Amino acid sequence: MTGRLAESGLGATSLTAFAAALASTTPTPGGSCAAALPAGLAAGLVAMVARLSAESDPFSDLSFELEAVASEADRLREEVLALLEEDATAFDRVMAARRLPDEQAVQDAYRAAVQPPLEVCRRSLRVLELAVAMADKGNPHAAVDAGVAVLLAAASVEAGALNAQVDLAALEDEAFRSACADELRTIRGRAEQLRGSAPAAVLPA
Amino acid sequence: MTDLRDLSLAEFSEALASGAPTPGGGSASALAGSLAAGLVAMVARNTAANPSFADRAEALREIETEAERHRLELVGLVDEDAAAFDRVLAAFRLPKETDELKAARSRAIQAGYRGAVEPPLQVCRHALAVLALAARVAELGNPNAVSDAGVGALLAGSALEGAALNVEINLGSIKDEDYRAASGETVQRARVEAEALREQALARVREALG
Repeated sequence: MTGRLAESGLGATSLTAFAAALASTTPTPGGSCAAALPAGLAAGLVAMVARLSAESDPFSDLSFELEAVASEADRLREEVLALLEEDATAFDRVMAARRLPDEQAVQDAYRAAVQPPLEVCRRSLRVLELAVAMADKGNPHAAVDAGVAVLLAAASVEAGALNAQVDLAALEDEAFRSACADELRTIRGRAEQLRGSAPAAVLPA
Repeated sequence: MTDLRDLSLAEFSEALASGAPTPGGGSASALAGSLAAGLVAMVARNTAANPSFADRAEALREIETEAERHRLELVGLVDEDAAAFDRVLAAFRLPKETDELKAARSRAIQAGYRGAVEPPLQVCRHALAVLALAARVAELGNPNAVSDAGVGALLAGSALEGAALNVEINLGSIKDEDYRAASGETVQRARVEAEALREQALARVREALG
């Protein structure tokens, strides 16, 4: 199975080419796209740990739960990778709007540009929850992979929040700005708490 | 077998998701490090090309060159990590019917684990260097791109910590005490330095973002 992303857009870029594209002088893909990718990798690792763990005891109650985790992580992986593309598009729209003499268009573009990084934060938080659950209940042989997933998902939460903050700073709508800032604060707090709750054997504090 | 570097992002993340043990967290950490290096290089290059920052163009070009070197090394380590762990798994499949075969298998497993420690140890070293560069570029780079430097620092930090977990797990299976102690210490030092650099970079980013 190869997803839609494998055939087009940034998802179709090879690892080598994507890292090189980041390093190039073009503004997209930039930090915003790179923010989503670790969560995509983390979701992949969560699914792997869930699958490896389910195989070791296929008929237990736990294995049904593990299969549900694997499917949810697969879905999150696709969604997060789709956000790479959405983020790049939203940023290109901001750049285009800034060339017009229309302040409202610029404001609208920034408002739209906040959404992908905010969404990166939300989905990364869910990946982080699943990663902590796998570090806890998954096959101990794969615990290190769950640990890496925790780290990468937490990095995406923080990176998404940084990028959202940049777009929010350009917005004039105070109410919208403070609502988003509140949500970001809540998500980051929860992420911090989750990361701290990972078993110490997997992830030393 | 396909070199992992040639997989698309979608294919690579799908390969992670499969029930196969490789690629795993070690490869994912190396990739996160290479992305961090790419971002650092981008900020350095863009700022160096901007006439408003001509006073620091030379320092930025050095940062760019260094970051590019680490990026290429880290991309290579994505595949090396998986290949090294595959060798451990292959050693476990060796026959163990006689004492002689058992001894040979045990030696192969030990050699395999040593080989598996190296890629994540390299990722730690490169990621630490990238973090130092991210902290410098957060300081010297165009303030408009400071969030990219911040994302670079976050990704390099998670790459380093993820690689450190992989070093430690493989060290756990190695019998040579001296080697274990030396590598464990390298990783521990890298973690401490990384934490300081990460904080330095992010403090600068927060200051610039207001």
